[in-house]
Amino acid sequence: MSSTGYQLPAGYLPRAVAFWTGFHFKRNLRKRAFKLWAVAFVLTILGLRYGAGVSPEQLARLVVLGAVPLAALFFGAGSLREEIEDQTLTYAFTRPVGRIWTYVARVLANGLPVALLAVPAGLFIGFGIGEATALRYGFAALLGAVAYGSFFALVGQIVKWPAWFGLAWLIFWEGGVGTVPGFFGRLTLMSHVRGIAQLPVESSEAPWSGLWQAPSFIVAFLALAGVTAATLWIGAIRARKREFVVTR
Amino acid sequence: MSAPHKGPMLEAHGVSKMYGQVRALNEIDLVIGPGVTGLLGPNGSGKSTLLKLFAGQLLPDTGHVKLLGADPFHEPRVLRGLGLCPEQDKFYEDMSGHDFVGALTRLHGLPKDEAEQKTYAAMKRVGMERYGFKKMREMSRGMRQRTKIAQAIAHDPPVVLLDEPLTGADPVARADLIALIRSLGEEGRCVVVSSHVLHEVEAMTHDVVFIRYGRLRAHGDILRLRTLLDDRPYRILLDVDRPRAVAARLMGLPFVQAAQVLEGDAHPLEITTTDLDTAGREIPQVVSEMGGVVRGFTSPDADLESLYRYLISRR
Repeated sequence: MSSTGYQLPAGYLPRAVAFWTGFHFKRNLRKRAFKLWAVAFVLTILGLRYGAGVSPEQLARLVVLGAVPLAALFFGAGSLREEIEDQTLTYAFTRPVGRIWTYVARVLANGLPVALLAVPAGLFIGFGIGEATALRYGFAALLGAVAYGSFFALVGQIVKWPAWFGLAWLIFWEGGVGTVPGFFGRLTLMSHVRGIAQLPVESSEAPWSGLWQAPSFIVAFLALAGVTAATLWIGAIRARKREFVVTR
Repeated sequence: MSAPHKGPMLEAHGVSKMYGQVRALNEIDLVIGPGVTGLLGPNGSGKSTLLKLFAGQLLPDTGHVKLLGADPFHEPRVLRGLGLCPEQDKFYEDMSGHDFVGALTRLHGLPKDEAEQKTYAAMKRVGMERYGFKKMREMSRGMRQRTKIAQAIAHDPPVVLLDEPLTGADPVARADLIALIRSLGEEGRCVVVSSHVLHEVEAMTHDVVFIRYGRLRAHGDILRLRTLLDDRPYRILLDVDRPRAVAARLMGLPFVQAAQVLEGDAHPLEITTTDLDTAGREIPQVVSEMGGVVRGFTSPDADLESLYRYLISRR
């Protein structure tokens, strides 16, 4: 018999959050979906770089600005939704860790596999140009994975069809509005990832590319960090306040 | 078990819950203390909704619920004292039963070694020590059910909510689990078992809560409930000689409503009464005064099943 009653032991919360993050992170790594994403990343990068002779900068656009947000959508949107659909959410939500931190742990656990794909990919592509570029691409890929992952985790809670919504969002808002010069373009995450990676809009992407200016590194960093924090917080508060009727 | 809680362990005060236009619970007032309590009602009566409210999964639309004196939805720390065996047969299928229970036990803040010990003890207690290392997807329904109960009790909670815990268990497993549930109650835990399998609940406890159409129909010891329901007629079957004469004599007694002679039956006399206890005391005396003897005295309406049928038939 425990002498602690239903009091929580000291240091409980960080320990439980770290455990739950690690638990789901490891489960994600074992899933077939992650293995397929990893194979796709490696084959695409190696095939385009050495098979088709695509330049590192073009490859970075494809991977950092394209594949990373897609992977973040795939993993991020499922953060809680997966457990709702599997009806396993009950187990975590009836533990004393609380819904806020359960949600944060799940978003982290689903964001880490994306980072694990994105950062080495960014570094590898960037090394084709130089060390500084590699660091830039790697960092941009990491921030992009985190910001998009957190954003799509919130979308996954709110929207009924997050995958379709996310795809439309990436194509029309991020890919379309993100190329618009000035204020509207800055409202997209893509423009800030471009700012970190120094991958400006090209003429092949938009005819007005000459007018487009990348945000400064610090503005881009603060914007991505701010969106990450805000969407994570809103998602967590929503998870705390919402009833999740897994079965009725 | 955890340190005993002072005061009621589960409370619902004026609790109502709607799912859209459907009223799942309607003005429930209920206080539950230590021991095993059977939560009875037909499908859709609101049993699972009530358990979800106690487990902090849902918020009541009106009223409030308390688990160990705290609001389980807004104060998740109190869930340290809760073990929930949910109704759905859902798990992390790629894990072994042992790992599944271990992971959920660690979410209660236990260090790895202690969680491991408690997991092993819980798996042993539910009879899964030999099969705990099977993957969940490879387990039979009964094994999955036992594992689900193990995750509910591994962290030693003072309150255990079991939603249809015997579903899918074979007869031997059922007997084992009934014994386990009784022992949890005997340890001073508050154990609430929702079920519609009446004889199983009767084997676990005499403390029952009846719910029907989201309303609380009755709560208490089944024997006490029986006496409280004084408008409820009971049939008593008597094996006596000269049933017509006995019937005529008994009809003069205030607690006897009707008497009927059943020709050719092993119990040739059926009496209807609303006071089973008095009838049990006085009828043998009256028959004795008539020079006879009561060879058989049974009431087919005195068990839980008949009480249940009676309660759910009242709108």
